[in-house]
Amino acid sequence: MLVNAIEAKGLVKNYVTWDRRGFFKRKKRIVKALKGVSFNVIRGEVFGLLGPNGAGKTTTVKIITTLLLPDEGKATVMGYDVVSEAEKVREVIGVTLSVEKGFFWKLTGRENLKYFGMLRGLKGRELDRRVEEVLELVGLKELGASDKLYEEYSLGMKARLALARALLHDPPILILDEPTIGLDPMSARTIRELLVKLAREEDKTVLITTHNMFEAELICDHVAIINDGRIVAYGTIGELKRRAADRLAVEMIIAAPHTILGDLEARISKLIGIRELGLEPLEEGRARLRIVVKPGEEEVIIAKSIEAFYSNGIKVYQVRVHEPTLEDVFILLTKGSK
Amino acid sequence: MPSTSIDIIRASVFSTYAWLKNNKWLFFSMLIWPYLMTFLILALGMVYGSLETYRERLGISNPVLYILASSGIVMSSLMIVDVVATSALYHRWLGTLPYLLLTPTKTYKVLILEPVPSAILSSTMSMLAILPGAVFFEGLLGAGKLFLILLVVYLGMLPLIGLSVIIASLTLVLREETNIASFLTPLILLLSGVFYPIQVLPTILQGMSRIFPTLYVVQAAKLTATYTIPEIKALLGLISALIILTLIYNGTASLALGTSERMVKKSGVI
Amino acid sequence: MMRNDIRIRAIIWLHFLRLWRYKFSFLNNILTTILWLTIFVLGALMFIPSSKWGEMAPIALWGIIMWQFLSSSVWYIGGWTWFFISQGLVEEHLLTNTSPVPVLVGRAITGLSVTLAASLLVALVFTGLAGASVLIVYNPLIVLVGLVLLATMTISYALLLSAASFRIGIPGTILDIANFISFVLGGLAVPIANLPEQIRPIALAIPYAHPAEIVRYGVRGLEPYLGLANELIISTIFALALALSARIVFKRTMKYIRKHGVKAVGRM
Ligand SMILES: Nc1ncnc2c1ncn2[C@@H]1O[C@H](COP(=O)(O)OP(=O)(O)O)[C@@H](O)[C@H]1O
Ligand SMILES: [Mg+2]
Repeated sequence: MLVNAIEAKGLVKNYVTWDRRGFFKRKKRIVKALKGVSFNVIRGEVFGLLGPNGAGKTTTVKIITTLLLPDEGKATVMGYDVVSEAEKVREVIGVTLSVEKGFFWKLTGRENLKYFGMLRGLKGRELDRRVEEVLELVGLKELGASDKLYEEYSLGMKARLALARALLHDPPILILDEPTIGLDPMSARTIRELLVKLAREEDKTVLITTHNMFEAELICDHVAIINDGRIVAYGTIGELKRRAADRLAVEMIIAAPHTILGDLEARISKLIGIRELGLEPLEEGRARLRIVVKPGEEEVIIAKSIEAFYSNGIKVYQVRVHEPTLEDVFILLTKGSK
Repeated sequence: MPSTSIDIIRASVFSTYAWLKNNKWLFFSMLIWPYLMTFLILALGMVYGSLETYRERLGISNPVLYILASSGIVMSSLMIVDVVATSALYHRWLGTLPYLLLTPTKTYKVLILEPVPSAILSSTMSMLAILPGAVFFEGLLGAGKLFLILLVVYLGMLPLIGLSVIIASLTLVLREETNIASFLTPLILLLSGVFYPIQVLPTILQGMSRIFPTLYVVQAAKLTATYTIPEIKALLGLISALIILTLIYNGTASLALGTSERMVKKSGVI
Repeated sequence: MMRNDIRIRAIIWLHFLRLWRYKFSFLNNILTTILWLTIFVLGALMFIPSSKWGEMAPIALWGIIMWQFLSSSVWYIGGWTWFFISQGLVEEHLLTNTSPVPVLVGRAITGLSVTLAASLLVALVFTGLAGASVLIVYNPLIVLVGLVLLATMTISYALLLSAASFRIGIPGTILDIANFISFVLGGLAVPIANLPEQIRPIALAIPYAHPAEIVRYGVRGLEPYLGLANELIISTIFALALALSARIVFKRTMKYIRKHGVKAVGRM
């Protein structure tokens, strides 16, 4: 009996792209998307692959789901090699690559599922039964959306339909690339609860990617943090939090017009001379700033920051110091390395 | 601050350039198309019939140049209608339609102005493409004639843009995947008698053709291909017809777009 | 094997369903096709004395029908590839162990439906112009054989173009230029025997010329340029060769995709 449902060892992937400049000129550029990614997913667990945008999550997912060949390294799913036994791998995985596309616009949700079910060899009563089951399971029935055209679906419905398709052939493994991105809290919660239920009650193995720490904290048994094509941390949520146990998190609510947020992060980082910070836009032109510091440093940093903000005309509304959350660990591990 | 017409045009010049840059093949194919059409018609016609028969039927002095110019007109009308009518669709497809509607000015203005640079570009290109042909047959005079035709084509563009906006409004409301009114371009061209005298069409169709701008553009091309020096008076008649059509079509278009914008916003098919 | 049956059923069902849901586009496409054809035919007719129209009409009509085979395959299969790629449908099919090829080929259902409807309507126009029914054919079976061979070639060709658009964005107009050229040079519109002597070798090298000769034989009993038996053999060889190269190229394209990822093409 296999212990690991998914094993990845030393995955390397370089993309070749062309920068277009001028009418005829093109310049070749290599994007190093993965620089040696290894991790294992234990059977029956919910595993989270965490990382900021562009970290290499989708690339990893595509390799594991057989859609992309690694340049180096090896990956297996249920013991099948993703390169040489791709067809077998595809039979045991259910995948969602995107919550907003991958279906035919002018077919209803039910028709789309029926079509993809047929491609998987389901037919007749069995097909109808499975389609109804998964529609029910993801809550599309309850929303009365089964017979609506896909183009009329809300994002939440589209995400549910994508999950339904992944479950159609009752695979032991689910691989989901940002399954809740952009969804309203209710839809996101439905999907999360369903994933946990599938793992606990039906012994399915679930791999999700996300950049939402809150989500990872809620449902993942193990997480791996990926940044800039490398796994920078692996463990249970508790273990990861302990990594930052010798640190403190400083949280400030400051004024920040949304229009300049991207620039603001760099500016603040320069102002206070700290790179490991996270900036998250809030409502009403405010933003939450997180800084991870060593105990004892917090007072100096706070004083320095407030002074810097004050002299630059940035209002500070609130300052708080607390134990690090997973999000602070994430900031510590992903911001510092660049 | 509301966007001025200049802002819209500038943005559109840029996106047209960027688009051409990434689709160079399209750029070159625009140059070849008129010749291909001419080749097709000449080849088909001459295998079974003769150029003499064609010359007599149409009563023109230089059939090859005429067919070439007509092909140019066909191409530019096609592109104008296509660019305008499809641009709204493209925007919806790419998800940029809401932003287009959010541009701080009248949507009508955006839809009309946005395609102007690529429309001017494509008609100029079509005419430039046939310049070597014209010079080959008639030397500098041929080039001069072509320039005259180009001016009429520009003028003909104005009502055509209005017409295209009407089509675009329709497509938006009917929410199809492609431009479901693409039959209008060949219909208009068919009625305008591009490669044949419109007298071969049934009388009802001949009457209908009067409401389409391309008829006058084609006639102007015919005039210039018929005489060494086209009759100014006849040309002026055509030009005034085009001006009247411009007013009518663009007026209707602004109404149609207002209605469709309301309907689109109501049904939420953005 | 069983599973492939279900797959094919699924794909056929998909395309008929989409055809129905996009009925406005469908009607528009038929109309557009007819109008363009009429423009060019009217233009070409101006070269011909009216007395010869009756004799010309059937050949012109069938030339046009064959051309429609070609251009509809290219547009419906090659053109749709863009949508297919940009909507992430390539990956979704691969995940079910289904190659995109049969799904793309299935688009021929839509293309052929448009062709069929447009051809019938144009035939009516021609019947009016020529004063005699132009759809009565000399040997229907031979016509059918010729059309099947032609369809095999055009679908394979469309797949080759579609494979190309997985790598680079090929704009539709380019696709159509090739169509235009094969219309005249490829002997679709004109029997090879009627082409000028110097052009005939070019026509003979273009695959479509051969099924076209077969179809014309079936329609009017015109002796094929190289004889019926020879044309049948040559057409079959060309059709198989094209189908085979489409297969090979697509296999390689799929490999390329797995190596480099699917990229969105076209105006994006
Ligand atoms: N097909 C591609 N061609 C070139 N570069 C790519 C391609 N796909 C992704 N990349 C690049 O590879 C890096 C990793 O991307 P991705 O795996 O999509 O990240 P994530 O899913 O974590 O946001 C990014 O820098 C991205 O721009
Ligand atoms: Mg991603």
